[in-house]
Order: sequence, then C-alpha cells, then structure tokens
Amino acid sequence: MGSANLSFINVFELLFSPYQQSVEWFTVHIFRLPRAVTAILVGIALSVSGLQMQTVFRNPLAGPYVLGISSGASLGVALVVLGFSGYFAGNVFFISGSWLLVAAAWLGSGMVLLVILLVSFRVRDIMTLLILGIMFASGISAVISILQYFSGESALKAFVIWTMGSVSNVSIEQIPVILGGIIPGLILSVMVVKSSNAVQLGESHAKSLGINILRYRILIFISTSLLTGTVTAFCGPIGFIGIAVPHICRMIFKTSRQGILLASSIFAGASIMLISDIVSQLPGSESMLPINAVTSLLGIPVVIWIILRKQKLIAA
Amino acid sequence: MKESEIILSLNQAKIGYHRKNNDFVLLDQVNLKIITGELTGLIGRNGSGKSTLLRCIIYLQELLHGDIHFRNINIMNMHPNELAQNIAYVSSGLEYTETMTVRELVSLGRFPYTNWIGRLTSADIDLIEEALVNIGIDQLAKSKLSEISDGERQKAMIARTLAQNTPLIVLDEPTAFLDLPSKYDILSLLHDLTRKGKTVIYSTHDLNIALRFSDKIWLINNKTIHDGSPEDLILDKTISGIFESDKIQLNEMTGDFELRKNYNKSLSLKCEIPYLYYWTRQSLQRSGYEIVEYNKSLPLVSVEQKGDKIIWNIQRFNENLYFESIYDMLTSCHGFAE
Repeated sequence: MGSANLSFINVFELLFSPYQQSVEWFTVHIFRLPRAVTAILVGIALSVSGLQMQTVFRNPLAGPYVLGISSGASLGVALVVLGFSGYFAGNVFFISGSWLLVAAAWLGSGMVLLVILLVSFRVRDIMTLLILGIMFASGISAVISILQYFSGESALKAFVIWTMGSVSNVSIEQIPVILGGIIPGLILSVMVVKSSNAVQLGESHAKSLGINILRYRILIFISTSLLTGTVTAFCGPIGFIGIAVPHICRMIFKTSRQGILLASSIFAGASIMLISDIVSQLPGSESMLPINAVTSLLGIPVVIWIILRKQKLIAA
Repeated sequence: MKESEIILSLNQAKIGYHRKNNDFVLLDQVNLKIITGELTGLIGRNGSGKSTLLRCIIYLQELLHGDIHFRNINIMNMHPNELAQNIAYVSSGLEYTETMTVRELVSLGRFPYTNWIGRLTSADIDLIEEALVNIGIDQLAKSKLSEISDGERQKAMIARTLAQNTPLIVLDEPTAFLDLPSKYDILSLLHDLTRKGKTVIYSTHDLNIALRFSDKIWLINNKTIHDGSPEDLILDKTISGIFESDKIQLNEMTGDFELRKNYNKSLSLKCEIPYLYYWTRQSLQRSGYEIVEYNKSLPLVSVEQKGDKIIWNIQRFNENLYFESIYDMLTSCHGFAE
C-alpha cells in the first residue's frame, strides 16, 4: 500500500493487461483497483442512504452517521469481532470477509434505524431526533468500549483500526460481497423514488395521493440498513458523506425531484469518496490519513452551513 | 335533489378516536350530503372535530361508526389510488422541502396517474401547465416554495389539487395564517372552481368570509353538525345562538360580528348620504353613544359632503363645532354628551 510512483500511462497499460509477475501489476490490481472500487461503492451507498433518511425524516440533518445508524452497524461488528473473536482465533481478515460480519452490521444498523423511525412517528422535532441519535451513538460506543475492555489484544487492535475507517482493507474477492449488499439496496431506492417525491409534502398529503406509508417506510428502512450496514462492515463508520453529498446535489441542481437527487448523489458520492481516498493517501508521501478525518473535514462545513440556514428550515 | 348529483354522503357517522376504555367522540349521528358543484364551508371551534371530519372524508382516518360514500361507493372499499384520483386534499400544515419549486409541487398532483418511477407524459405536463395558469401562478412556476408568500403557496397547493384532476377537493383551513386580501383571494378562487364544476369542502375560522362565499355551511356545535345555506343559518338564529356571547353579537343585516353595545350616552345623527351615515354611526356607537330620534335637549351630529371634503358638525346648546375627520370629532367630543 502507500504511495508508489506510477505514471498515468503505466496505470492504464497495467489495468488492461493480463496477469504479470511484476510489482507494478500487483500494485494496480491487488491494492489500487479494489481500493478505488470500494471507495466508489462506499460513496454511493452512504450518499444514497443519507438522501433517503433526509427524505423519510423530512430532516435536512439526517444521515447514517449523525443518527447513529453507523454506530449501530459498529455495534454489530464489535459483537462479532470482539465478542466472538475466540472462535475465529483473531483472524480478522477472515472475519471481515465473512457474511457474518456484514449480517451483524445490517442487524445493528437496522435496529437503531427501527428505534429512530418509531420515535420519529411521535416526535416531530428535528433537534430531539438528532439528540437521540447522538445519545444512541454515545450509548453504543460505551457498550463497545466495555467489549473492548474484555477482549483480546489482537481482536482489539483489529477493531480499533476498523473504527478509523478505511477503504484499503478490502480485497478483490470481497467486492462481490459488498456489491451483494449494495445492489439490492440501490434497487430498493430506485423503487421508492416516486413515493419519496410525494412524502416531502408530509404524511397526510402523501397518503392522500395514494401512498402506503408503512410499505414505503419499510422499503427505505431495508434499503438504508443494507447500504449503511454493508459499507460499515467493511470500511468502518465513515462520517459526513451521507449528510453532505445530498445537500451538495440539492445546491447544484436546485430541485426536490428525488430521481435527479438520487442519480446525482450516486455520482457525487462516488467522486467525493474517491477524492477523499486520494487525499487520505497523501500523494507523494509515504504516510496515510484515516479516511474518516478527510470526510469529516469535507463534510462538517456543509453541516455547519445547514445549521446556519436553520432559521429558514424551521419556517418551512 | 337528484341521486346522481350527490357526490359525497355521510351516513350515521361517528367521528373521534379510539381509546382503551371508551372512545373519544367528537361528532355523532352525522348525516350529511354534498351536491356536485357546491362550495361547503366547515365551521366550528378549535378542537370541535373539523380536521378529523375532513381526514375521515379522505380516509386518512376511519370512522368510529357509520360510513362515507363517494358517489355511492363506500370509501373504505376504494383502492388508495382510486381514492386519490377522486378526492384531493390540502392539509392545514404545509410541509415541503426547501428546494421544491412551485412546478414540482403541482406536478405531484399527477402522482396517482404516473407509472412506477413517476414519469410525466406530455398529457401530464399539459395538465400541470393548465393548473398553473388556471390558478394564476404560472409566473411563479420556477420559484422555490420557500421564497414565495403564504398566499401564493396556498395557491400552489390548490393548483396541485387541480393537476390531481379530482371532482372533489377537501381543504383544511386554507385561509389560516393569510392576510385579509389573501383570504378573500383564496375563497374567491375556490368559489370560481365550484362554478366550473368542482366540488369543494373547506374548514375555516373566518366566519364572515365563509358566510359570504359558501353555498352551504356545516356548523359544528355540541357534537352535531347544523347544515344549510349561510343565510338560512342566520335567519333561523343558529349562528347567533352558537357564536354570540355577552361581548359579541351578530349583526343580522351584514353577517358581521360586532361588539355588544353598552350605551351610556345618546345623541342624534343626521346625514343624507347612506355610507357616510353608516360609518359615522359605527364610530359613535363604538364610542358608547346610542343614536336616537332628534330631540332638542340632545346633541346633534350632522355630516355633509362639501366638494372633496367631508365635514362633521356637532351642535349642542350654543356650541357649534366643525371637524374634518371622524377621529377629530371623537377626540374632541370625548365625554361631552351625557
């Protein structure tokens, strides 16, 4: 991993060349390609789940990270990695490739999402929900730290590295597993595009237009759990992409049409995540930044911008 | 009343909420009908069940008892999409996303007609443009909802119901939070729609606007609904019976509510011009003067128009005072007549 000097032409040649017994070929095919593909998938998954959550909660500050959904996935992962690490003899690479880990992350994110969704039926206030999400995240991190305290050294190290978030630990063999989680999630999000347009007018209006709200919420719920759970399982909790990208798309396209926002979130999410990954590798140097730090630095200004405009949002 | 003209009927309807022990009933034994092309205004105090009744009509909520028929079909048996193609609804709270434009909002009216992904056909687009033009907001089509006035937003919501192309439109407090001209604007818009064949039912707190525009009033009182034309409800004293208090009374000539007069002084008023007489009397009555027949012992106020100017004149014993505004007259005669 790390930086290696390869020119553009070299990369292109290597990318499309058959198997070679060279360092350069390995760098591109084993390290760079899966990494880039993973970054793209992570960007897509987090942006789309962010967009969906903002629509279903009718809340501009909703996102998988802020509402504690990523934390839920972390809990699932922690339980598997730390709780049952004995069974896997601390073989983290074996674990992280397994469907078990992904399923645990789906379950964890699904559970937090379910609770937040249930609360959101009763509590309409944006701030209450956000505070609840923060409480969830803190509660879960407390549970995780207890798990960490009781867990073995190698599992602990693997888990801590995982929490920093990285798109680099994914091997080419694991990409089909990620796709297996993300593609159904994306199909569901295309299916709800029409309803998402109407839900923006509020529940009563959506129902009066013929939408089955319960069915709609369940679809969004499954889709978001699949998307967030999958990428969190493999890459750790990656913050602020989910909240920031849909807003950037709204800013650019100045529309509320979910079809346009979904398509543009997919492209913008993929590009921004790819850029974040490139920045995190600090081109030209040997060291790497945690990807979470990069996405936070990119995303937080957007969140602050939203909060400063909140006056207007409340009026709406 | 021809059977075919009845667009909506409520039969033995009981409206309220299920509670564990005993149901919370807002309205009971409601039997009402709406005729195609009517503008019906629903009036009642806060918490009397206006919104709940409207929510039942579009089947957002179930009745506790009885049934609602839309053109002889029980709405419970209608597919949600079929219902959406027949009854449009505007709720009292307007929720929307900041970046939504007027045209995007109106396009949502086509929701029950479009395919799974919501693609608009050219016929859909024509209907959307037509709705924008009919409501007179085609100039605003590209504006964001967050950047237009409350009245314009309400118009956009009404345009959405037109795009939805339903025979019946249900609106929950469409005039709330609007300034007075906008209230009249919205009501005259709804009135025009009914003249073009739509049937509209709306709830409101603006009693005198409702009395002025509606073909029929549904008046909620004591868990029942009185219905009739506004004029019938005034003539049979239903409205005055419900809304009058020791402070407020209904002017049965105008349908306006007025402060109950508590006169402690009297004078007489002379004026040839009816509207000057009306507004001068209004001001004097508000100030506590009862207007009585001319009597030498009482002050006399006379009003005359001289060119552009209106002159108010007070004669009392030897005094003879002239004023150029009602306000000046009232401040100067404050407490002078007993």
